[in-house]
Amino acid sequence: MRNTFVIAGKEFSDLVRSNVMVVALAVYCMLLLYEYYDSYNVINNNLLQFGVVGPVDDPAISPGSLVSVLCGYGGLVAVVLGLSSMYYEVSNRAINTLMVKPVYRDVILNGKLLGAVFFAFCIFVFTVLVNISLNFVFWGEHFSRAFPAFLGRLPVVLVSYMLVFMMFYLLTVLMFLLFHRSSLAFFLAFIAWIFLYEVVPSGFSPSLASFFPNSEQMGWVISCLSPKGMLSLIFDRAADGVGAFSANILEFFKLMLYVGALLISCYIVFLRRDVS
Amino acid sequence: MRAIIVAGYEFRSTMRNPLVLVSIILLLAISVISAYGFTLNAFSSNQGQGTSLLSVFMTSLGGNAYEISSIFLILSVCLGVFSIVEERHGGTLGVLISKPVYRRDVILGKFIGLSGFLLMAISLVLAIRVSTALILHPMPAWSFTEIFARIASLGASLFLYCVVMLGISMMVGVLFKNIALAIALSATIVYVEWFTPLLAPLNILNPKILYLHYLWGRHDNNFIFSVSSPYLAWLSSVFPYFILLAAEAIIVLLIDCVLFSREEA
Repeated sequence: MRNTFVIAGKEFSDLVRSNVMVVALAVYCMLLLYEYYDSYNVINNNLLQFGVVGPVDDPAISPGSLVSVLCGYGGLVAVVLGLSSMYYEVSNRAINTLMVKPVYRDVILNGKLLGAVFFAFCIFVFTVLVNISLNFVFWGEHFSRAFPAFLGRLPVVLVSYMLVFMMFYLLTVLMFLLFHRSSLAFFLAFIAWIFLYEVVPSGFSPSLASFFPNSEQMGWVISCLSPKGMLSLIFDRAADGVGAFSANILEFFKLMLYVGALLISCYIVFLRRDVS
Repeated sequence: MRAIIVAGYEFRSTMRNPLVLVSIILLLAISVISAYGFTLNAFSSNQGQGTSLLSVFMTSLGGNAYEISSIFLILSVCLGVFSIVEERHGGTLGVLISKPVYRRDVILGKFIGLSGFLLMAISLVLAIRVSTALILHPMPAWSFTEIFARIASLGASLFLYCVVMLGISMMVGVLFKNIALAIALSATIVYVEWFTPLLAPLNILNPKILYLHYLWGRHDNNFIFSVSSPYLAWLSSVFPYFILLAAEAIIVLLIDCVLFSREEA
């Protein structure tokens, strides 16, 4: 167990020291700021024109901006981090050094994953803090009253984000372990991300569904199999706290299934293949 | 002349890259599925309303153009950034620039070689698309030249868009020597450019917006495969976007040449 934490600590410090983190955090801030500015303008226009906020969720407690930034761009950050962590280990021969030490291979993988999870959690905390600051800046007193409700929704956001992050991180690690080429691993993981986030939920699911009988329902089922579809279902009917988990148990189960399948594949490939 | 030699080498090495095989298979699969799906959906949604064969044919040609473009975008960015950073990391870039060739020839050769590959891939995907549409239903009674001109215009604009993004990703590869940072920045550029409206103040320069305006018209009402407007009318309304995309491609290439000429051996 101690070895796992040592490797996790090293992985975490590598990720924190990486330049990628600076880029990722800067883009998170920019995207959040833009989302807030945009929604603030829309809601203000509605207030001026119609005297109502409009058919939108309470802006101060809605996790919409947070989810779209964390799970959308966060998936891509996971791809880049997964690739860079494996690439440097292999190209610097650090992984060879690690493998000749008296540690099991699964301990190496566990350590790396644990380090990535800690790192993802730190990104989450940072983004939530920025989000809270922006909420106070844009909504002021209104947000102070809605703050407990906002906090109640954070566990759902955290679990969704961690699952999406781990899914794309594991996918990239798996691709690298399978093909040993950084360009191919990055391309495949990036394609998987764009497929699951953009292509399938938008225009491609009706085309794919036309191969099946009852194609209209099938199109909906296919789009619900993508993480974006699952997230939109989760946050369309998101209540707070435990209620949100019980209402969306199937969606969380599907996301966990993806992560579990990728995790098992990573273990199998890492234990059985030559990674040097 | 030396740029052509480098281009030939780059083209051959790209063709040997497994990434190419994977991307071509994926794009062809999406093309066939889209053409088939759009044909079936167009027939079923217009049942009993006298579906025009021409409109179904054109729909199956243009369906999922946005999704296919996004995959070509990723392919261009990956090829562009890895053509520089992988060679630099492997040491072959150092060997290449120590040879008696101008640095601008190296970057120009890489750019031409990768662009040649992209042109070939786009032509192949569009050819498969047309073949699938022709297999699914007979050629409509419409001018063949008109149909061919529209397909060629789609290919030309997609090629120009991919070339601009290829140049931008090569620029990232030239500027940033850290491979992780170069990849992160390329991915961020794709995300910000394709998925967010963050670049809205620069829309007139944003290659994605120029490309989409070219395909769909400025107000999304003049799609390239729409049968309601004649080809020349469509072309005259979107031609400025094509010129802007071409100008951007040239400017990006020139910037790449200037930046790469400062590369240390």
